[in-house]
Amino acid sequence: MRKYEHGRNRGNLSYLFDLACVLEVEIFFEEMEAGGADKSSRQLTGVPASNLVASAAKPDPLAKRETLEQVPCGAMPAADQRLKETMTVDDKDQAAQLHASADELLERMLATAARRFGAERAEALRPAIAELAASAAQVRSYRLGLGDRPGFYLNAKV
Amino acid sequence: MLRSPSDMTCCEAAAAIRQASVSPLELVDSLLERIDALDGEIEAFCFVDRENARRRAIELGNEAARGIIRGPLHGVPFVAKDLFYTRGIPTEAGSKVLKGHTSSFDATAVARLNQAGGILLGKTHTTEFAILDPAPTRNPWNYEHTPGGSSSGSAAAVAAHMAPLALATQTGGSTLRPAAYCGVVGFKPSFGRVSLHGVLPLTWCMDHVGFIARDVADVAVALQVTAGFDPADPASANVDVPDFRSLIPMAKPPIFGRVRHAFFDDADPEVLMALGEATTRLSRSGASIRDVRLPESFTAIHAAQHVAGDVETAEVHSGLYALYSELYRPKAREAIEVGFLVPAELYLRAQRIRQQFRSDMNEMLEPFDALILPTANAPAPKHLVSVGDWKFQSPWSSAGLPSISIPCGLSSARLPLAIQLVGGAFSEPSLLAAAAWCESVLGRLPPPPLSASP
Repeated sequence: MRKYEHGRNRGNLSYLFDLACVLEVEIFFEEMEAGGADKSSRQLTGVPASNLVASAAKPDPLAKRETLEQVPCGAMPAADQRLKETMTVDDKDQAAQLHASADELLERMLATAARRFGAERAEALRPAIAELAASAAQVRSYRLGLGDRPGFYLNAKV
Repeated sequence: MLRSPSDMTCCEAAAAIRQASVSPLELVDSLLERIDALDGEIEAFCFVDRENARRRAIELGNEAARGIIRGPLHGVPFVAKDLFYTRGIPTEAGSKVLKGHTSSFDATAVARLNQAGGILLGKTHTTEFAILDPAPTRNPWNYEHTPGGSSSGSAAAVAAHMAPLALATQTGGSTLRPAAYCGVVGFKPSFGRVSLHGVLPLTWCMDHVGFIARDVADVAVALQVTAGFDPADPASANVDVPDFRSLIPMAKPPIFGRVRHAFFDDADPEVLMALGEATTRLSRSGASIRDVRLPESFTAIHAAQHVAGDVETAEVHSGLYALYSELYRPKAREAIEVGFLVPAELYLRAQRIRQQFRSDMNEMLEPFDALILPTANAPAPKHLVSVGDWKFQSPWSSAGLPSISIPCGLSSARLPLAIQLVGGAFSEPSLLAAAAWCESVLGRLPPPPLSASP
């Protein structure tokens, strides 16, 4: 594995692609501008391996502000309503996905809370968990490149 | 009319002590008198270190009389939020969990203020562990309103002239928001600039030491004497310590990027009007103000901070919580418990979003001296049950960028309003210069209308 991590050996792209599909993770491509060895001109894009071709040219609706800022979930009916009123069709698909993602996380976190703190306490924590699940769903949906492998800026100079 | 020594800023007091026009003991006694008169109602202090402060004031006064000056704050009293370890006097973080806890050493920030000649006057109230359960402190401008938090006591003490300088902390908006609500200056330097050694953590990745004082010059001095690498804090940045006042006064008026979108929908109309008036005055005086858009990563930054913050708070408290869960107040307990539930990959993703936002912001801020926006979405809310909304301050904490709040006027209900300036990472000299410039244009607020003046 190490020889691939260090770039001494090149991996096979189709193997990487198959691997990413199985693992349901994203592959990242570096697009170098012509003659652009310059770090600042480097662009990184990430797309889910499973729909690499289909989504390559499409703008990312998840990046739209309305979708990201007003995460609907069970605990936020008012926000949900506002969202429905202002959304385009594309947004609605994405918001529904985000909604489902938040609800799935909420259920998972509630189950963990019940095991850890008991069913009654878990239920008491439901509003707080719902809020956190909404944030977690938003974090999950936000698209990131690999950047420059940022650490957590301990002792970091800028 | 002669001003009381308690009305002096740090720089004024330090100069007066050097010129022997006031002694450290007169200064300490004047502040103690003020505390006795007011703090029964304001409740900024959880501990007043009367005897030690007086003893040290006498010692520093004797030195000053012999021409010995330890540093820029020789003889100047300060207070510390009750998260800062202070040798020999209690550090309880507003919690029953730490009742009676006394540390055996000083936090680096406290030690460095002491080395500069400062006198620790006491400890100030915080929300429990800097989370959300409120401190008992009241806003000196109106006792029915919150002073904000979590550095509630630090802001109220400085605003009520019970101390000229306070150590605070900020993870979301805990220094700038209370400073804004109380009509004083709140400043949070870059992440890593001031050591967190000996400061009880709220998170590992977003905590900052902050300063509250009554003008920009004072927070600049406080930074000057506390900044610098500390091997005892793994997050301390090993960067040079410049002269933070080198750009004051500015050679030419500052260039600001103004943010008018995104979270602005949540702002009180009075806040937006005050920002408009302030920017008009600043641009009439020569400042250049250009509208900017926040980077895309801003859309996920609150969520990322929520996720990363709650997980780290849970981890910070896991040991104490296992033993004393029933002693925590409700909001702290809730924050800790939900933090245990976040899937690990989402915690890491939240950290990467923060990093992305930091780098996007640094790039965006390149052409500007600072970003300009309101410090808070509204003046201090009327109640003592919460400590206000952190949304306007927290993105910059999350990104580790320096930010400063300066008062810009009063609301119709006569509560302070403030503007906030945000700079790129480690850009404190230009940020402080821009803030000092704004302060000179906008003027200062009068002190709060407190009846108990001695």
